[in-house]
Amino acid sequence: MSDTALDYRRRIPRILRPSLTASASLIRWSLRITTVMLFSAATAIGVNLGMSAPEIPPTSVVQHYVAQSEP
Amino acid sequence: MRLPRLTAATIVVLVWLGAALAVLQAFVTAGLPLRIGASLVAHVTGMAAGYGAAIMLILMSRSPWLERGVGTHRLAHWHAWGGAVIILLTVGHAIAAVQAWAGAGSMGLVAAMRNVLQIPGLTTACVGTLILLLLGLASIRVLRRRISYERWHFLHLLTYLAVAFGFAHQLAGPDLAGRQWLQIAWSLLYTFAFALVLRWRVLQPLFQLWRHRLKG
Repeated sequence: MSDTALDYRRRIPRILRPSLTASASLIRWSLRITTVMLFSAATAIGVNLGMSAPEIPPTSVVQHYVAQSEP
Repeated sequence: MRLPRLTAATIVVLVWLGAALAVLQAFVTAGLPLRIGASLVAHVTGMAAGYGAAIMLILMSRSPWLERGVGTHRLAHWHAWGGAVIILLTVGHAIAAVQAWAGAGSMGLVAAMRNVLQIPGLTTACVGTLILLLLGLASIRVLRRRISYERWHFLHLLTYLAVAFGFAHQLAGPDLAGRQWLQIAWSLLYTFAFALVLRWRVLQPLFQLWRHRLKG
């Protein structure tokens, strides 16, 4: 255990220590919730990107640009 | 309830099945009668490279269901040769696309390149290709020995950017444009690949750090 960790533990009142040792489950649950949120966001972004993606093939887009720029 | 364990054989079958579907889409876009030429090569290599880039991200995401089922060593081996194939496919796609454009418009290669660069998302895709090319060169054994690990690793980190840069071009490309369900599926492939990377390569180490600090 590093000196910082020792100091850190010394500064915590004894009564609070059990809640810190039990926090492994808090971390696990935070990670689970974060994972669900992350993949929900990935799904939402993916669907949104796909829905708003261009409908015109690039060939037509470029031909349109070229036609416009020609006198 | 636990999910069934994924074996290397299952992953290989799934990856090749996905690759076959991506390439099939390129053939569908090329249409009938099938003409073997630069255009077909551009379609096939483009779809294969785009699909492969997302798969590489997933394989190297450090997801436990992949690492336990396949093994880190085997995943790294797949990544090493898969990465090289994807870089070659990307470069091949760029050359074939310019060649096909020049042929279709009866123009020179430089004029064709100028036209091709007007395609939406192509400028960023070019930057992405350059990054991939640099990484490919840096990974050649002779050069790899001369580059410090930190630089080589930094280049590897840049590939995330390169893959993201290519995505806009793929989504707007002729093989996907106008086919909304395919565009959604393709976007989901990429967003899930990046989510997996974020979950296991970024969040997991951060949470572990938090956990061990709390335990003291």
